[in-house]
Amino acid sequence: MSDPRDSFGAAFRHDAGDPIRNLTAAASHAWTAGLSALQLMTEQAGAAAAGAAPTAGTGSDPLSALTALTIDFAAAMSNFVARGAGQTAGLRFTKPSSPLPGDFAEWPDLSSPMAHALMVGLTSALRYWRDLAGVYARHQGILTRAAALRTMVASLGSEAEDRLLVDELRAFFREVGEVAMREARRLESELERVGETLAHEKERPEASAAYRRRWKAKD
Amino acid sequence: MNDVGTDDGANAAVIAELGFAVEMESLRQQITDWIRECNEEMRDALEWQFLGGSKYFRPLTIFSCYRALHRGPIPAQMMTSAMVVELFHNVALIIDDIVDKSTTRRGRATLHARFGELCALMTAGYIVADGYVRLKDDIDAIARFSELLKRLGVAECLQWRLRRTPLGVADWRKIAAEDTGSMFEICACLGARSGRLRRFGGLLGLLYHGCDDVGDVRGAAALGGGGEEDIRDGILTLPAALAIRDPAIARIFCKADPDPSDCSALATALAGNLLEAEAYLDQIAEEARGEARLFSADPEPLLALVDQTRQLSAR
Repeated sequence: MSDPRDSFGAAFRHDAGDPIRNLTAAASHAWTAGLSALQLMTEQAGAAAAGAAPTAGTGSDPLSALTALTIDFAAAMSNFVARGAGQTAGLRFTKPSSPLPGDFAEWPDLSSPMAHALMVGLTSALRYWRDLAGVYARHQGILTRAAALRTMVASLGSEAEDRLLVDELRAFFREVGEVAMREARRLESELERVGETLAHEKERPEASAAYRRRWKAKD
Repeated sequence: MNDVGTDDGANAAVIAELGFAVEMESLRQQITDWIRECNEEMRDALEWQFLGGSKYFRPLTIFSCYRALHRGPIPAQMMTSAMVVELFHNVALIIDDIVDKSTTRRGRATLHARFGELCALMTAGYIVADGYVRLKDDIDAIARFSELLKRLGVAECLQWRLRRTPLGVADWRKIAAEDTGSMFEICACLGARSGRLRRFGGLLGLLYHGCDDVGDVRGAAALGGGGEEDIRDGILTLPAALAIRDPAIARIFCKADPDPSDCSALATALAGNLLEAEAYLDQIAEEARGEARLFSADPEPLLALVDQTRQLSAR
């Protein structure tokens, strides 16, 4: 597997002065971490099947890598929100100065619900990879055995072992599918809530506008 | 006329634990009133069918799913859905008993054993037709119940076609998801008035089905008892799916006409896999709890429902 980071290009590189670019970079890193985690797990499963020791303790543990990226992502997110809050406060209480690149003044529509939606989407991507990595980790033993059976046909197990293997592989496939479905439903539900918040804010009646009846009741 | 059977002590405790004693009393009264309004020709059979008492797990699922997402009292429309789901559940029981040739259920004669097959079949049809009448203009519920009846029909045919076949746990899961799973899925949709808790309902149904399978092997009378019919007919229960990983047991399981010693050997093998079956049910229960926490505003009623369902295998 090639390094997926390459395909994201220079556009998503970290920029200390631009919270939006940083946030997008964090998202691309999350995807990269997820893909790398899977790549590592596949390699470890293959190595175990061939009798080699897994590369634990070398700092390349995929779950640790994902955790580290989660922390980076959270930092980027809080930076983004803090910049937004500061900018909003500035707009309300002080005379606005000329905006910096990436500041909220340049993005008048990128208000709280949009930022929230973005955060929900990025968190979902990260969570998907984490859960998928969890499924791989849980079934690593069975994947190893399946790989071993593929390479060493002569050492095929008993009929009972084969049945067990098939059952466990089917459970693995089901769980991989379920992770995607669950995360999709979760994302849908969370975005729905953000959308509802946005809709309610738009629908809020003007407190200052007095109610005036525009028609007369019939006699 | 007699009132619809009240639940036993254990069921009353479950209902009280879930906090729906008032709603369940109202539901029982609705069913009693409904039987009173039915054609005189059918009344004895209907009384017999509904007199035996029920665990009311399906209506409880509707109420719990409603509470998990909404506040306030259970609306009248929801009460009607709960009643109709109980009616349709009884239709499934009548048909199951005919197909299984069961002469008793929960210690009483089954409907066809007491009134004959023709009467039992016609009663089942009568209940379905009147169930739809009860739904009136609730289009959403009509669509859900139609989906349920279609899926139950498919599941029964699938389960029967696949009997005496050495399949695995994944196959058991598929069959159970369409059989009991579909019933609870629809209950969850009716309670939530959306598809938000559909997956939760499916998992709850799967759990219920699996607990029923395990309870049958334990000879749990509270769940209807028995399990001998499933062994005789080569039905893929959860303990059977685990036991037939052993090729020798699989060969017995696949016999077209097993003798008593075969059935005895199968029963022993099934009992030997109960621990693994219970562990698998614990996993399903945990999946259901995860769904409840993720997709409900207040997961407590759903978590209580999962706990109550999980205990069924031990009864």
